[in-house]
Amino acid sequence: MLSKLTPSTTELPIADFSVAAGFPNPCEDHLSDSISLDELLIKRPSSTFLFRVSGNSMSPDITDGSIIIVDRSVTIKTGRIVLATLDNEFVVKELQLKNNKAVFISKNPDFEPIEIDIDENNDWDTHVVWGVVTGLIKVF
Amino acid sequence: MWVLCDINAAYVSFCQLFNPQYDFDKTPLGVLSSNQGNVVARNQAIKDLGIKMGEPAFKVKQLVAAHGGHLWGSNFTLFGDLSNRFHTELEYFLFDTMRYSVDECFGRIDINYTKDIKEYAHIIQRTLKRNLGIGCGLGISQTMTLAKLGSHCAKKKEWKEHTKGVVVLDSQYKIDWALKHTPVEDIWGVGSRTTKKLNKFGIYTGYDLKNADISWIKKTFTVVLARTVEELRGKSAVELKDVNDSRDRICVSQSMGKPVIELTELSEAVTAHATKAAFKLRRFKSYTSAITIFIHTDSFRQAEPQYHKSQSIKLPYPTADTSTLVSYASFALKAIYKKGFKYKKAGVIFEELSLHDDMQQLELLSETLPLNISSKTLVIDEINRKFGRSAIKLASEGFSQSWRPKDDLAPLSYTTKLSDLPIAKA
Repeated sequence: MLSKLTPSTTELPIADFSVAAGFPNPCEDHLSDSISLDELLIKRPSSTFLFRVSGNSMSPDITDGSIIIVDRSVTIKTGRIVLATLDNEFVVKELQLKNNKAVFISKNPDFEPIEIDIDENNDWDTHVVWGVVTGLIKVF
Repeated sequence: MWVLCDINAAYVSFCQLFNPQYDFDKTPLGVLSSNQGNVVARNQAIKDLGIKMGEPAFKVKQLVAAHGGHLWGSNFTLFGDLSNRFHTELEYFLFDTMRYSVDECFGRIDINYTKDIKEYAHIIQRTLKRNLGIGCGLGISQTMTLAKLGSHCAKKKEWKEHTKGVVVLDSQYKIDWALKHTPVEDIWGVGSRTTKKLNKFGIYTGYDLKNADISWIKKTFTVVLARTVEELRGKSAVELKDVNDSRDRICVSQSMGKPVIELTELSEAVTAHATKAAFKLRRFKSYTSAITIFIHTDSFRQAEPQYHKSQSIKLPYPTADTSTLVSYASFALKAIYKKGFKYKKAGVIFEELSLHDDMQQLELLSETLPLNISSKTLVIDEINRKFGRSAIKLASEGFSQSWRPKDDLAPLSYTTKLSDLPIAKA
């Protein structure tokens, strides 16, 4: 007796490597993507920007000519390295928050820290801190 | 609910983001068109100086400088990259998003999951400010046309204090109030010609249009306008296709960086413009049946001999093929070119556009295939898509292109070119 067939709804995957008649390649079961530096360094591409560093106030951590990765979406916290706008310029500093003051510290002891008063009205965090530095690239 | 999110003074924000020496809220800032000819984007401070959209740069330069302001040129690589980031950020918040333009994005919110729509909109606003340094306005309502109306209201300076850049039109009372305070020409989809005609019939505000008789609108105007009316009444009727497909001409033109005298250089410019326009044509899956070339001298230099001329050619069949269009364009140019003038501007216009699936009237005895785009053109498109625009081009576009204006005011490609990265002092 013939009745109408219901089509199968199970989708079968198609192998994405060619099927050869020779000895099967044992590596095929262990294929994975190659290492991606983009993925390692840039977590959130739409809010991440690159800057070129000029100067030695952050050496030896961040040296002249290297590239810093700045993610604007990362929360600003004490102890983080930030990109700030001080005196109408972009600067890289370590941020320390204490007693209603934001202190921008240089790693190089030859440079003095810069202090800014925090008060309710001056929006210091959006106006002064441009973004948080999340990585460093240096090509030798 | 539909949402329209648009960036306030997008190009200005994009430039200011990498130039912290200018205060976006206080300093008059503007962006000029790519030939540095006219003002195309303004922040509030420059508007307050009385500088209008489209004003010639040379008229306003001194005024802006006197107030410590700045005018940038255009860099569409930078603007495009930041626009892309803007749309990507919104995709985290909205579903069914549509990239309507560089600085406008449609999308939807599910009211079953979002209790406080207004608060949600403010979160979007704050996130975009934090992550991209851009300010934006949001309009939210039942249909796309009403969402657009909302964003129009959100932009109004006199209501800013109250709206904070977010307008949710979620009740009939609010919708009607907004419509009554909006002239009909500011309704999405109503053009200037339609406005004139509507005014003749006593329709002046969005509210008048909403209450017009739909069958009368269909008869007297177009089906598309009737859909707009339905949208104003809260019934979704507009598909984005209607909006994008309604373009009926493509124009590519540019002022020269220096006065051009020779036909060869003018030819290069016309070829480059025709190539760009043909590429646009194919992107919109359209074909053109008429092509117009225009050239003119600098009308601001009345002391010098003036010459303005255009030439149209009706094509034997619709086409979108670069080499075909370029040869017609060069032919038209040769017909109108006159020696001895200093040319300032050249342009190419494609008119009578038809869509891929439109009916074609073919010539009975002609053997030409009307919709044929040569495989060479397709290959060039493919290569340029992969390796960047102008990776490969017709030799007649020229190589040095010295006629192109040098845009020394343009911001750098801060986000896309390693050599243009902004500097961080350490």
